[in-house]
Amino acid sequence: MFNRMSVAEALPIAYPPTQPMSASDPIERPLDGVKVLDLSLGLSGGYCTKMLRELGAEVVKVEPRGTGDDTRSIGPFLNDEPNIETSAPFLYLNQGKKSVTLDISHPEAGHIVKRLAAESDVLVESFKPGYLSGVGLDYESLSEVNPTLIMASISYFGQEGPYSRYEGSEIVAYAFSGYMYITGDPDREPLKAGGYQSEYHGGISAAMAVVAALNYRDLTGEGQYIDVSTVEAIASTFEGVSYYSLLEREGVLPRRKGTRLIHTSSRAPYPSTLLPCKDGWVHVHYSPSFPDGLATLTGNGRLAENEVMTAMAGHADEIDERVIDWMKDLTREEVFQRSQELRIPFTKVQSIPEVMSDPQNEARAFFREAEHPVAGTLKYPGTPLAPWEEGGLPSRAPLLGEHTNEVLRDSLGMSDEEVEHLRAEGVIQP
Amino acid sequence: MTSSSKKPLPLTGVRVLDLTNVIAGPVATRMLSHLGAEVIKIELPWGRSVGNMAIFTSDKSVERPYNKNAGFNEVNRAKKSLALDLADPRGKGIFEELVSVSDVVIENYSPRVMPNLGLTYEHLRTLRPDLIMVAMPALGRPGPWSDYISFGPGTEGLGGMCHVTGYEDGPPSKPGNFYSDQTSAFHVATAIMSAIWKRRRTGRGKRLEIVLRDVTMAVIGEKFLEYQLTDRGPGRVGNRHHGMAPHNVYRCKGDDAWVAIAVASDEEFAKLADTTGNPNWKTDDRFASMASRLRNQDNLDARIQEWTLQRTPQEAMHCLQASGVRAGAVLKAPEALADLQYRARGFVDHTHHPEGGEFKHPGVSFKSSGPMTSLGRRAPLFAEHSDWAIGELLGHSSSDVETLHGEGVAPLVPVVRK
Repeated sequence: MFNRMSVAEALPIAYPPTQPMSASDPIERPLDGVKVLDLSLGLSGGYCTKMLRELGAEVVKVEPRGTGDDTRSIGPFLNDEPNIETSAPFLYLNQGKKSVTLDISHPEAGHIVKRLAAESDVLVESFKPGYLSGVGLDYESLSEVNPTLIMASISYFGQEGPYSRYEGSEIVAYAFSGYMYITGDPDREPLKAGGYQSEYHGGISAAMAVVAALNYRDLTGEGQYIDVSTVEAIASTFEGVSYYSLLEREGVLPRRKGTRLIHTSSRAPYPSTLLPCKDGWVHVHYSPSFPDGLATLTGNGRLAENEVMTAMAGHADEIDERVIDWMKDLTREEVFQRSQELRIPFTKVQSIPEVMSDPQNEARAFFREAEHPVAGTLKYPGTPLAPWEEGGLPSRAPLLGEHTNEVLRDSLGMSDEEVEHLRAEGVIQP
Repeated sequence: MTSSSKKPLPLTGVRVLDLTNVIAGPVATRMLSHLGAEVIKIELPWGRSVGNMAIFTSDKSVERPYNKNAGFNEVNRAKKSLALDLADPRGKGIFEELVSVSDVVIENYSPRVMPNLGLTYEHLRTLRPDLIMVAMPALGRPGPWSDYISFGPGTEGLGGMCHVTGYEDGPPSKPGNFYSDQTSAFHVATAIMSAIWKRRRTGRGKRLEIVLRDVTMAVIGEKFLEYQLTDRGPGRVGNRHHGMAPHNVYRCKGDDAWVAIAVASDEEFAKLADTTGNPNWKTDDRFASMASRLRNQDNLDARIQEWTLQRTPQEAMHCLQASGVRAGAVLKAPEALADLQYRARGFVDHTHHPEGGEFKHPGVSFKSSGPMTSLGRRAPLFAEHSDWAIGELLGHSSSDVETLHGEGVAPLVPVVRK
């Protein structure tokens, strides 16, 4: 039954031995030399500039005086004691960035932001639409000091349109994107994905647009203003299922189906899903390259019968039942290994501690230690944006205002007196 | 670009050979195409039987179903199509000629396929020294699972996403749709554009490997730190938030109708209490502070729902937003299409496909002051650009092109799978 491409798939290959680069190797990253001024507060801007940092850019975070970036106040914290230096999302999202504490609403702060913007390639912000123009730091004003500036604004509903001034949040954006309506059990309330997925997608879209704009600047010599709506960012992930056309074209409203993927035709392939086994849950999937694979794996001939194979989605309940029956005495690991041996793409559901110590992540050293003066030594996930050999960012998040002096003196060339004056006036901290 | 006066797009002049299938790869190259790249999709000679996306293809009464696969036609907008049998030496030869005039090669086969076809980065860079080559394996090198296979959703289980998604009292779950495929796609597009930017400065290409599971772990990265900081393995919290209450969806008037509400401060809670006609909540010990609301949120949620049940999701949203409360209707697809904000921003992309018909698609997730994207372009018909690619671009004679068509090396209609 194998075709020639399948033969290419079936032959095991030997990987050449590879070693991660040591810390002393100079790693060339694609955005080396790009300077990013990050005025954003919260998770979406945080992930945007995290991606840019992982690609090699230098990121200077401007944080409000007092408690800094909003993310510093989002727990969980070390030992569950609120502390702006030990917030889990802050520590993760801000690795390798510099922190400058600046009260941008202060009349003397405007010219500092403009001087920093003049030195930067990219500026990222996530204030409520309209706020920056109120303090004279909108794109028009900033592009006067830096005509090739690329500025990305992230907001929940977008800079323009009737709801642009509405208040948002992670769950609100997830709901209004439509994604919530298709997540969860059909007979229960719509469900949010774990973590902060709509915030992260706002950041991903902004980073993608910024890198596109860097290329555009190469070709045209022009800067760019980018307007990312978190709602649209998550809605832009609806591709591949005709989400916006299904009702009109097929009379089907896309709706949540538990852990099953959305399908419309009973003759579609088996809708992959999560099913229970002896010690947990397995992600059960069909392989188009191995149509009778479910029968081979489970030893259940019914699953290779024409009636089932030509209308798998229509027989999904029956297929589920037979696969569960096969798995009920097997562990997740046994199911995972047996299916992969046959090149059938089942995977297993792992908990967070299990993920951190699984043999693949261990072999790849995906989690790497970095030391933080307050939070201690922690293992951080690596970056998906660089080849494995180049590793992650073996660095920590900055303390609040850790680089205020360095940036004002070294980057802006301010004298000690100027810096002291700003501190005395309450523009900067500490 | 055809007109010299027309401004370029960010990726104008970049040619991409797209060997990807299903969702994650095609969405990444769809993005590059909308940003100005010329994307040539190298299709399998037997057509587009792309598993989960087969909406029309399984219907044998449909003529040329491969041109009418709605899922395919969505994720492959704005590309060119050439079907090529890479396991045939002549097909491989044509591919190698294309590599010599291209900037990017991207594939998302299992890690075994490209080496076994003899199409490694080490080989292809001899044909195009500054080539950017992108692989999208499920689990990455090195390690015991390196050549295991998984589609995007399977990596959500292995990466921890499923474990932290779900109702508080329920089993692991996962985001609807192909979440990790889409999320990986945008990381891949970003990494490729960075490599192109770098190449313009150094003249050097790069081998990229973007691992689907790595992306899945990256977007829940804070969970791994939470575990270490608190010594608790993060679990499922449904729609709740550890620092905000209320934070949930509430049933509204209508069929399966819901609104999401999130309250981040006591000040916001006061607005919610007043707007819903419950000013007494502000002084009720059970609700007055965030800490007390977090403890009593089941009770509070039931009371909020008494108010939302009297309103449609949109009415509840606009009413709450008018007083500054974070609220959003849980939109259904047709409601998004009709929504004023979506319409004002022109989010939805419209295409007309000669065989598939009229379709609406998610648009690009950002607006820009300078024109960076070119939307409204349909997916190619199967092998629509075969003659152009082999004849015009590579300069083969029309009799050679005919032979390649006729012998199934570069077929114009899908061949029977060998």
